[in-house]
Amino acid sequence: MGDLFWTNQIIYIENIYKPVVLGTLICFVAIAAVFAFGLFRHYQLLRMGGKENRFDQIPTRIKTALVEVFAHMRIIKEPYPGIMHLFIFWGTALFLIGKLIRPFSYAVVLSSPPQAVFLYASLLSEIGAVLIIIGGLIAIYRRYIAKPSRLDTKPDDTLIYGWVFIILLTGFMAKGYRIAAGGIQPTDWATWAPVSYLFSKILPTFDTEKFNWVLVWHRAVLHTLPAFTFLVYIMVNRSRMQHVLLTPVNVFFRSLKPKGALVPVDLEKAESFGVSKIEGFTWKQLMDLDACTRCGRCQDNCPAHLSGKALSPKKVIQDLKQHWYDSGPDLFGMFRNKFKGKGRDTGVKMIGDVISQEVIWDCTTCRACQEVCPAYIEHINKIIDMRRNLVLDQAEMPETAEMALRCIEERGHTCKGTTACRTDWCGDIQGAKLLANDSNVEIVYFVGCSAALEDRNMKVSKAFGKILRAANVNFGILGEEESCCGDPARRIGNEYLFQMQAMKNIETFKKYNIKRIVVTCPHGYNCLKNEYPQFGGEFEVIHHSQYIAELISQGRLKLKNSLDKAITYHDGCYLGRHNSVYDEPRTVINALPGVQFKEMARHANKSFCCGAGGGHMWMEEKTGVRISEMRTEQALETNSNVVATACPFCLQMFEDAIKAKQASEKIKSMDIAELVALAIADEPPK
Amino acid sequence: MDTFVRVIAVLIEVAILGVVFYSILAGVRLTLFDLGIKQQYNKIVTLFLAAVGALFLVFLFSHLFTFYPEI
Repeated sequence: MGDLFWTNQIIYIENIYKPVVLGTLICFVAIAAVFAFGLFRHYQLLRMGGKENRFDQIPTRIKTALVEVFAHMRIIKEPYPGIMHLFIFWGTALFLIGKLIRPFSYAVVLSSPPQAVFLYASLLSEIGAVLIIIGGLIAIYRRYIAKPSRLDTKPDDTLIYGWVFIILLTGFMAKGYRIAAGGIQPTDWATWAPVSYLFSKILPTFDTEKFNWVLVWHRAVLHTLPAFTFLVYIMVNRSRMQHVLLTPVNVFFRSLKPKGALVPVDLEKAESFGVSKIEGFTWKQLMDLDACTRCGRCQDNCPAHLSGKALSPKKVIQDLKQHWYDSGPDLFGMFRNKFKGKGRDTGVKMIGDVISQEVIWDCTTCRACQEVCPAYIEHINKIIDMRRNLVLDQAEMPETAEMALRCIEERGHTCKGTTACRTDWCGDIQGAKLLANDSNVEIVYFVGCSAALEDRNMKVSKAFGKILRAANVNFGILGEEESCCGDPARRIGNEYLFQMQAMKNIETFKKYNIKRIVVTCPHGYNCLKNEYPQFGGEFEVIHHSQYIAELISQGRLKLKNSLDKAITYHDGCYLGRHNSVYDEPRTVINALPGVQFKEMARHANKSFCCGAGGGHMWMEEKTGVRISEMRTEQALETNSNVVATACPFCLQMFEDAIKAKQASEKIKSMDIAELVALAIADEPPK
Repeated sequence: MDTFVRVIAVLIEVAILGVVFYSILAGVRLTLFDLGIKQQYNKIVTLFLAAVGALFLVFLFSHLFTFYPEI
């Protein structure tokens, strides 16, 4: 195989390539030292962060990291940049495999191991190089011609394209000259080194073998030099190229906890609350900053950014990263070992100078940024940590949010000014038992503040009560014993108030020995299901969309009335992205007679926030377009009569936005429970 | 004609070599600043590296014109 491949090559391999490769192998020690130095720089920076255990479930971590790195599961979800990255990644992998096999070919006699190995190594390198060039051209077109707003170009980005291209070009030239200088035709170089073979056709050589030696020497050095320095560059310079190592490591250390759960604060031990200085973050939160590749997917999916607010998740991460680097040890301080894991005082305030309060309060915690981030960066916990500091240490928060928190503290709910009590909604619904009277029930309906006390949402709880009664469900409610689940307090940053509410509700649940709870609010659902276990509250929690789907599948609900409506469904963030409940609401809607179901362009895990999450239900939107109005426009594009939701906050936001857009004639917002109630009613809907 | 092609070939070679040295020197510059050299030295560092790059290019230019193979 490939006998002609070696014709007239032994002399070049022995006299030129062998020394070059041996030199590279000797330099490997230097490369290893540089690599260690590069790692040490990051280690010193990570030492600034606090403790956090991310070493659990190692097999799962290894598996997900490998799948993500090699199969590009998340990156490929955006086809253009995904394919671009796939070309570059696999091109580099093949290129390096081919290159790494090569040095070993010179350490042994060429016939042992079999020459075929080196033929394939040559071919792999060439295929890899071509893939890198194709991926690079796709990237160059995107960055310099298409110019999507989410990409910012730094000098380093441009340099990398040129540098990598020149390494590949000089590689082809080095081999091309070697082929040309061999002077034997025909050979089977075309099979094993097709691109270099083409180069050999146009490269001039000398008539004298001695000169050709010098020529090939030149070429070998001019390929090795930029390649070697490039390796050093990516190991030392904390540029974007370091994502090659840092991003897979960050994926390995990704959060495996429930997506919707925030990390609790130990209120008894904490000396201060939240994070006001960069070293207040944990090492993993800091590693997130290192892993960011500035791809901008987070920014492109952030409702706050898209509606013209000050927040850009990408900018938050990048600004924190720069502040972290600035606060870290200087090079010589690091070597003098004067740095003990504490940041330098740069005189810059993280909250205020680096990240403005406006940015911190703009976040709706919708999780769209985290859902698309290929590096698995966790944006929300950093923003909440800064909010915790603002609220608990500095008593700084939007006035309306402060009022909502005060309302929870004083009345146990968020509905300031309501005259209703927690049982008013179930006035004419027979079968709703107060647990105080009879706790022997199949399931407990945790109604939540909005559905119990807010006029529009009381219609939802009423509809859900009718559904439960129609299905002969023996259910109970807590009535006045129920208190706010605490979600608004936790998302706004008042961890103290949240924990008070959680403990209070858990105590009540335990008092009645409650095992199974159904909720109509995804925020309450998330809190009870994912966050109450942090305080010993382990219960089976079901969202009403799941429960209705269960009742339908069990044949306990007879959907008899045709609704004759075109319906689109809005995935609430805390039901969808935070808890992955996407199918059940759709199952319910599709089970309704006379319904034409239409999806919005942004749906399921790509859904667009309604603008109420993260405590924004109680905050003013002063800048840009209202997020709820943007979402309403997206719903209107489907030409549906109804935008269905399964969240009281979303419902309220749609109600207001539809009125503001004067679109009440075209579309109305309804909870899926209201739709089901229409389908089971004794009288068909008008 | 051959002389003309040779000149073009040499210029292409010089351009390639120019990119090689530009990449390396620009990489050195960015690394120096990342290692903690203050921005106030930007001008002097850039000038020094540009001078080194220019010297390389002059050498390569003359070297290639003298020794480049006949076409």
